[in-house]
Amino acid sequence: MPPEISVVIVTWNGRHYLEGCLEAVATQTDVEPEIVLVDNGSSDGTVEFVRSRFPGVRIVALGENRGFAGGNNAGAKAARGEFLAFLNNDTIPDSTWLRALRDGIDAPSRFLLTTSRIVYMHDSSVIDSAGDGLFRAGGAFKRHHGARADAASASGEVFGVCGAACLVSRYVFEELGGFDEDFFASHEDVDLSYRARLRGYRCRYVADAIVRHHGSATLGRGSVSAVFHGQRNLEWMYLKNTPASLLVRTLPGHLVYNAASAAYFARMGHLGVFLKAKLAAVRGLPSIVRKRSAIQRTRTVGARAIEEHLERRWLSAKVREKHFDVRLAVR
Amino acid sequence: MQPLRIGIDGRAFNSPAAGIRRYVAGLTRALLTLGEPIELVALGGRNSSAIPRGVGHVAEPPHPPTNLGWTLVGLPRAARRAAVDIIHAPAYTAPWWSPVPVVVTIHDVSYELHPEWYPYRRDWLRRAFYRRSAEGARLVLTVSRFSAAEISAAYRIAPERITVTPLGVDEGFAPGGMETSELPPTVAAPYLLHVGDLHERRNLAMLVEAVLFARHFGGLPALSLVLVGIDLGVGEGLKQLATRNGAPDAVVHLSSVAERQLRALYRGAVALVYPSLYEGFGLPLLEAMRSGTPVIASSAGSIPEVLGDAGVLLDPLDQHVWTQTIVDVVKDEQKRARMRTAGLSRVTEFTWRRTATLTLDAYRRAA
Repeated sequence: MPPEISVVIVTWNGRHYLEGCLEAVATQTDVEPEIVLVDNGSSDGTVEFVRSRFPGVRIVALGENRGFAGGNNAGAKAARGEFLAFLNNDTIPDSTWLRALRDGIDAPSRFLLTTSRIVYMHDSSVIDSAGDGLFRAGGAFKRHHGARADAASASGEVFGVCGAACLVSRYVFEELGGFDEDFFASHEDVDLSYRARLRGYRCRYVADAIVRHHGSATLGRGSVSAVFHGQRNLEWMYLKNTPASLLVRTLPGHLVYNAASAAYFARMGHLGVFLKAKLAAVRGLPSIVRKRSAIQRTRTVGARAIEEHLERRWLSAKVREKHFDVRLAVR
Repeated sequence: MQPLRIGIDGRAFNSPAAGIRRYVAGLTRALLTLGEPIELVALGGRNSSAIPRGVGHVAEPPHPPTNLGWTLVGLPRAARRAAVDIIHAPAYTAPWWSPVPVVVTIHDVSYELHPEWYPYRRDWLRRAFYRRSAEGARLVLTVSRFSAAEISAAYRIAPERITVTPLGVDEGFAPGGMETSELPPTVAAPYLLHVGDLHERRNLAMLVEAVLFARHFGGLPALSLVLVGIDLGVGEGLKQLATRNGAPDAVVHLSSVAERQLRALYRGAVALVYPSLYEGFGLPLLEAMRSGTPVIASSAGSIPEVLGDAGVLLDPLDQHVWTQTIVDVVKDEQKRARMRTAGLSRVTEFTWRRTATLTLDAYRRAA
């Protein structure tokens, strides 16, 4: 009898986080998930540690770092559950987390992806993410990032699920072909959600599914690598998925958005990485064009069904988010 | 004896049309297992896992852009570079000039006979391209006797220049038990299945109406229709038709699905429904029969030739008789069992090995 839910956790040199995380997943209320740990070639003895401390955990040892996308795809392949829960290694979920995510699934209404209320480990009254949103101008944002926890107490439909802690029907995941491994890390969850939406599936934020999160433990906040992958993948995500009629209408806004981002990263001393990322995005265009044509050919909903879930006002949201991140970086 | 070196248009292995991808993969795999002295090379296209093991690959030499530029300039240049003895263009478009003989497969000529089904800009250009490709080829392959007659009439090609090579079916399709977890979460039994891209010719509006009637008046309120295929313009209208009749759950559109998922969908379906107004072959008929799924199909085009007496053949324009047959088949388990047995027996003659044997024979005559 296959398990109902498989929890896939990708880790890379994160042994010190794993004990709390695995302990919490193994003791979920009402659910007995299969746990699949994907090791992206850690050198800190992760595999030996988990084998001796958590013998029930299935380990997929990749031997090399295939990133968040590649690691999760490998984990999903090994998983047997009807649903796949993706969870970051630097988290501690509440005991009713999986049950709540599972209860948020509603197949007849096509809600086949659910996402958690992610709060900060050091201060659980502050929200890290309440699902992902997408601006018309093409950028993605974490809903209620930096807000007080009660701001995100209502469950409901959101644009996308946050890859740090979400649940996806395995069927849908396979239909979509999983995460795009060219992304390596960053924005691959927005990309997956976008592709699910283009096939008529919907994403729901479940306020009762609570996870505490250190945040940016692997890549590091504001690190060169995070800026590079984020800024490159943002373009790929936007260009792959946006239906043509919507692309035409949002492109001017997208350029303004990029100009504002350039100014921001210049102030942070990251202009070089920013430009390098955009150049890398352009270099990847041939492959993006190919993927785009396959995605647009097989979509089952119109541009309007996408547009009604896009957020118009990016400036105020971004200003608030950046202020919060800067404060966080300072402490 | 020198082995016969066969160059196959490599773009077909990653064609957007699922049927074309199946055809080249099935054909080339079977050709390699015949044990004959031949070598296969994919000319151009992406060198991806879609190209079966044992088939070589040469990259595309410089050529003008678009598919036209590739076919007319790139493909012959690639053929020269790969030193092949013959070019096989597996889907409609072939070079007009080539250093070696050309064999082209034409799967159907509905676009010549019913241009009204293809209201695309520049479709006249496509038609001219296809026609010139057929005229210029040493030999034309097609997939049914019906199509052979249609091609001969449409292009005034002598019947001797046309060879019929019926398609085969992948062995991965098989009857078997059904686990509900294999089905898409948006699909609920009982359901009827249609496989194929969604466009006018497939006559799907009639089918949706028949399903709605079967729900309202046939005592099957939970029956749904699952459409697997890419929407080429009619999908939204079909969903609206169902919604207007108070049954938004009667139509489920899945677009493209993974292979494993498609197999599960066949196994779990009450029947394959295939009301097309015109087909050159009808690959889903074979896939259904091999999966042990009963088939209710239109009597148009090549369908009777493929299905034989293994399923029910109906007038594609008579919605009333479709409603009745659907209700009958869904309610009558014994009838389904008989159709299932008949299909499994009929489908055994359709193997890729036969396709490969007939095709290789044609290559040798053309070379």
